[in-house]
Amino acid sequence: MSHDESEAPRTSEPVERRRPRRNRAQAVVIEGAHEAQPVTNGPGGNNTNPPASPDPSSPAPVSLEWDDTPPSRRSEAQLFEVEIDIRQQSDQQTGSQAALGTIAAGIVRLIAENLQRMTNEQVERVNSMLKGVDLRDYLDPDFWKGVGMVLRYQIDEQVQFIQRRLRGEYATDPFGMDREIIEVARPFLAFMYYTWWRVTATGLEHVPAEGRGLLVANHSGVLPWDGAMIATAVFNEHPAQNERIVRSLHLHWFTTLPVIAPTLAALGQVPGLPENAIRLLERDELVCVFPEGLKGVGKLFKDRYKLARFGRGGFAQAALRTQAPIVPVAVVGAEEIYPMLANAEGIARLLGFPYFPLTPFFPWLGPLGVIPLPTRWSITFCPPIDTTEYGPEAADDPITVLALSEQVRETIQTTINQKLAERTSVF
Amino acid sequence: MTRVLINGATGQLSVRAAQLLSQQHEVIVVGRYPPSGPIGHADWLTAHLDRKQWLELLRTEQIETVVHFDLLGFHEPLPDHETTVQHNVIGTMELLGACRAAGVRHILVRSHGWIYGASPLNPLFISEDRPIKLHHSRGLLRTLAEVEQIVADFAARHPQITVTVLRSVPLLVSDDPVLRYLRSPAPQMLFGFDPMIQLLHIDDAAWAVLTAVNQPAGGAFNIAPDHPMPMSQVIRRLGRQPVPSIISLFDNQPPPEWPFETDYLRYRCTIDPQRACQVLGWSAKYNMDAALDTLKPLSPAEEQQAAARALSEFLNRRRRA
Repeated sequence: MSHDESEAPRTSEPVERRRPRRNRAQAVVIEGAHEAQPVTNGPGGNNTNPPASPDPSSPAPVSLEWDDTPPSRRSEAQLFEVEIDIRQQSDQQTGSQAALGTIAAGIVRLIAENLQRMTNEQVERVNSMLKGVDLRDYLDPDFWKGVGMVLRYQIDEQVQFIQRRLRGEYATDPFGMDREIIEVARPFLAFMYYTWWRVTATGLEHVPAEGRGLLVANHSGVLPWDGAMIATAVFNEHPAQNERIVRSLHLHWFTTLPVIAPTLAALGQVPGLPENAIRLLERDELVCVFPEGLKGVGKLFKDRYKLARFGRGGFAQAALRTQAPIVPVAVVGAEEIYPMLANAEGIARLLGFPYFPLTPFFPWLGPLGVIPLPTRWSITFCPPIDTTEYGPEAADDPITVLALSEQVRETIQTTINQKLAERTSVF
Repeated sequence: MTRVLINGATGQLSVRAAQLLSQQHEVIVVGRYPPSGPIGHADWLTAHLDRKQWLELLRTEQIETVVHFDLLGFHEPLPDHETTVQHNVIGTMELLGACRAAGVRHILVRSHGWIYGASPLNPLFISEDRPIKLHHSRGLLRTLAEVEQIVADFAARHPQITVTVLRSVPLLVSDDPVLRYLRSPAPQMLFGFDPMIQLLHIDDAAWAVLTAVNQPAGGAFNIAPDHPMPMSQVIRRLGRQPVPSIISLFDNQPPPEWPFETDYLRYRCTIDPQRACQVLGWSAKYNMDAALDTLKPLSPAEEQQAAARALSEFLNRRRRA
């Protein structure tokens, strides 16, 4: 039953929420969409979208609304609108036409997401290819011809992108972060964020929009998905909209794993050593730490939402030394994504892993067991704790360090308990 | 004007440093083989000196600063371990002893930026106060760690002599073993690993030697560009494609030709040149991008520009002289 409820808004809501910036531009978008589609001769029904009522007499607010995005970017937002329309159309169809509509919507969405990563020149090119194609009428062969051309063009671009990477022409920061790789991973993370876990993030205004800051969160869920979701929340939903990248500190054990180590580095994550935290904070980065460490991710299901010891307060020391504000973060929902019933210590020791989870699905279902459960998450950013009142010398005073660490831990635990009480269902 | 002796005549760093130092100082280059390139105004002596002869040379020439580059493994394949120990470890001890007896005031020893060892526990940038890894299993670093220990010990027992150690990352010169490997037709990397590495332009390295000679500060200095690069990217910039090796993941044996331990293909060992920047005022003039670009063949237009630059530099130098 509850499944249906969550299905219904999925088609329209996530699209509107994905990037708040788009909402601001919506009035323009719709106009643009109608410009491109002068005759509404499709199978009808696309008037169901309330803001789509055409109002040709209204003065075009184009130049005012598009303050930070170039006008040619319009088409990407436009395509997201088209996608909703197609989905709504196909909902009213039956059988194969509905299936075709879903595919069409998916392709339009893919094109739109690729457009987000393209340069203006490339977007212009795509626009000219789509000229004269009625994107809402997916039953028209012209639709498929136009879309096919764009897809092929985009694949060509991808090939060029790969060739450029093969020549080594890209830039990384000293820690190995590669913005191009982040761009590639973003649609997937956004999917996990909005559709899979339907994350609600609150208190993002407490995260500093610029300058250093230390996010301290509870750790859970066997694999460190929580770090990725905190980063996605700040990247997509922060009120300042400056696409800030959160540098999570991960367990240095991950550095010893092939494939995972370079991927984490490219995504901007850094091995969790105090020197690294201090260096990042001194570069005025936004750093996220999980002081529970292994004790947190490798927690058993029966111990969920009971915070483990916060290490030895190393994070508080780093924050004091660099005078960075601490923002406690409470993540609820991640504990249930892999319900870890037992820890097979024997196997773990044999493989050299810090823990080996046994969940209802892993390792019994093989790779399928790695798919996390689609629980509903909430991420709460608490008001920042100022460290400047202690001064940097306090970093060498164990009492202040441990007291601060305890204060952060209690804030997180209280927030978690509060959120758990508010929560009605895990899914 | 200081009286400087450079021990070690082969290797591009010796040659380049001799060129630079001889513009300001009185320089003698001593080596078992003749210098492998032009050494500026420096004079040279080709001989395999023993302890007594070293002492005689240092005393007669009243050498104030000794630059010790004569360590096997920086720019040639290593011979067997016994020969390497004899050359690197015993050779260094003899030189240090002669320097003490001859009253040399400043000794500069070349070391390697990877002396700290590659490890997942390394901070992203290692500073000089991190202890070096004492037990390397292969290559140059195996004896170099011992040399560093001996040098540190010597420095502690003879406070009247300033001892400076330059821990420089691999150089972008054709005789450097790391660059030779990365430029080979199919350089192997460990499957699923891509450590960040630093490579230094030869001019920056020579300039570091010059600043260290001019300011005898003592202690170890990390010499590296600020901004490391993933190893795969370096290989691609050099016009090759990395070949992933899976076998090395399991048997932990490095691919053939890789002159260091396998761990250097797995974890980073990137060093922080901050101390050199603060104390010596040295920082790399070439970032890795620019340094790698200097290895590319020049287009005719670029060649002309380079020629014009070289000519004006030369004429300036002549005018000063």
